[in-house]
Amino acid sequence: MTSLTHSHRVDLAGATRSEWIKFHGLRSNLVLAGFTFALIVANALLMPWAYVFRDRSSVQADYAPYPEMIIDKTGYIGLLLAILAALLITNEYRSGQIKMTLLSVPKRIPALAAKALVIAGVSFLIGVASAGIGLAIAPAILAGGGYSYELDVSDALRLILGSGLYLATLSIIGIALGAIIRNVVASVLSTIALLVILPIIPQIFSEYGGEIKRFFPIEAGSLLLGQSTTDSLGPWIGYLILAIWALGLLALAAVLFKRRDA
Amino acid sequence: MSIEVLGLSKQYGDHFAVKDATFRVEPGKVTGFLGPNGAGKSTTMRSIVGLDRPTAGEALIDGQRYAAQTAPLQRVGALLDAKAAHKSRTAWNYLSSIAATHHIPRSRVEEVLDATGLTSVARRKVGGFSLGMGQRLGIAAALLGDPATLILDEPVNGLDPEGVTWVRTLLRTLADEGRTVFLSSHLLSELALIADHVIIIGRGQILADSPISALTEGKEQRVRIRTSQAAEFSNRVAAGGVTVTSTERDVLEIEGLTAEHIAETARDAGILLVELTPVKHTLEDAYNEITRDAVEYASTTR
Repeated sequence: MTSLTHSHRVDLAGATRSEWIKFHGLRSNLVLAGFTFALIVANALLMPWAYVFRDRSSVQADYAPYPEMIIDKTGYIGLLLAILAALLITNEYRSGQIKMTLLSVPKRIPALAAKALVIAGVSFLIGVASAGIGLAIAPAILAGGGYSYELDVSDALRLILGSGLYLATLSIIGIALGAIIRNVVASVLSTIALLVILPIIPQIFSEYGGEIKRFFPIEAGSLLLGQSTTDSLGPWIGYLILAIWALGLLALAAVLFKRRDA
Repeated sequence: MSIEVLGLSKQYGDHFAVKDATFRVEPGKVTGFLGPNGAGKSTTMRSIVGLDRPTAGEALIDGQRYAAQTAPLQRVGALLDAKAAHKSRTAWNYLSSIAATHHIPRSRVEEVLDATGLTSVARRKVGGFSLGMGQRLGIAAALLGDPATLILDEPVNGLDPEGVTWVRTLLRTLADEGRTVFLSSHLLSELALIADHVIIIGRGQILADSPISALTEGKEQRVRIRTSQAAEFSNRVAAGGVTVTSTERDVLEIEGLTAEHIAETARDAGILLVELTPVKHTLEDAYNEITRDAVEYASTTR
């Protein structure tokens, strides 16, 4: 057997390439990512189409079209990417691959960072591409019914890049929960619980439930994709709250990931 | 290129999986790590490469902890768990992902696939691999970085006879190239064929650390005799420093006397011996003696 001639070293770039190879090596990852993309694009086509054919006598339909409605489901569809992220890491614990991952990147934190970078990168691209396609096509569909909306450049950038940022940040919550919980089923259920179920529970017990709900990841983060007037927090404070959730959970995950036996 | 384990302990609750283990694995040799199941072999190996965090002590590879190495895969290749890949992944994807962490070129992935005989199944999903193929894949992963040290936990488990011979030849070659080869097994017979040096562990403690040939050295030879006058002969030879045991009717095993001396004694006493066999102290005997008190899960039939 020949020997390796070059001197090699492990670094974040290598770890990230490794995670990318692992990501696209499993068809199920590509299917789930593609499905998420397709859902957002489908919504972007259906919303203006439904607007054109709406029942004009209905009070709910009596509003002017606006660009944010094109991507108004991205907030909840993002749950799929958070689940995909949780699966990426917990599947390694189930299959035993995590041992090889940690043998290759024994400082561990770069391995977790690489995973987060890959899923966040994929999510960012899904968000930017789906929102870009949606906002490009929607005006043509609306124009078919004689409708239109105004969209200035700064709002267009907020909605397109914001979709990417929102999905990337939400996916990091999934990676963090996966690394903390390590079990496939438990981490998927926890992701769903934190993102979808927990936010509505305070409403059952408290008159301030609606207030509390605003500070959960999906609700706060979605403000970045909504009309600026939707909530007094505003788009960027909303996104900041999501980012604090993601970074807080990721920091906890990093401490545990570094310390625990594999 | 040596592995140094210094006062390593790993505690789970109040149970010590490994207790104050200290030993050194030298390059250029195949060192066997032998012990009954549950003796702490895997925990020790996992601690050496940082998968487990020791409760006390440390393990150094060339004077540095595994995690502190700049290119860990070039220092140490480890096989700790065969089939450590998602079952829907191909062998090629699995090895490529590992190689990528160290910027190891794809030509090297091809080389280790070739060396382990997996080239023809490289694009197949590892879920369909047999235990033996999984083991080969694990060895391929361990060889990826062309490492100076190999740590292999039960590497021949599940291999067919041809595969066992292949592993044996491979490990010998690697050791002859000056690499450090450290492999565990719970089977003495297997290690006796591969290892130059053996470290024996039982109940988490290091019980022996010596060249395999030295295990049987210095042990009294026994002589097995068969005679119808066993009781009488037993009295004749009984003296200080001589032990006589009887394993079956008319058979005595005598320790402390040479075969010649026993034959002379029988002749002088007019006792007919129908069998006189020097019994070599086997590796098996030495191992059983060392681990007798340390068998974690002794079977009741023994």
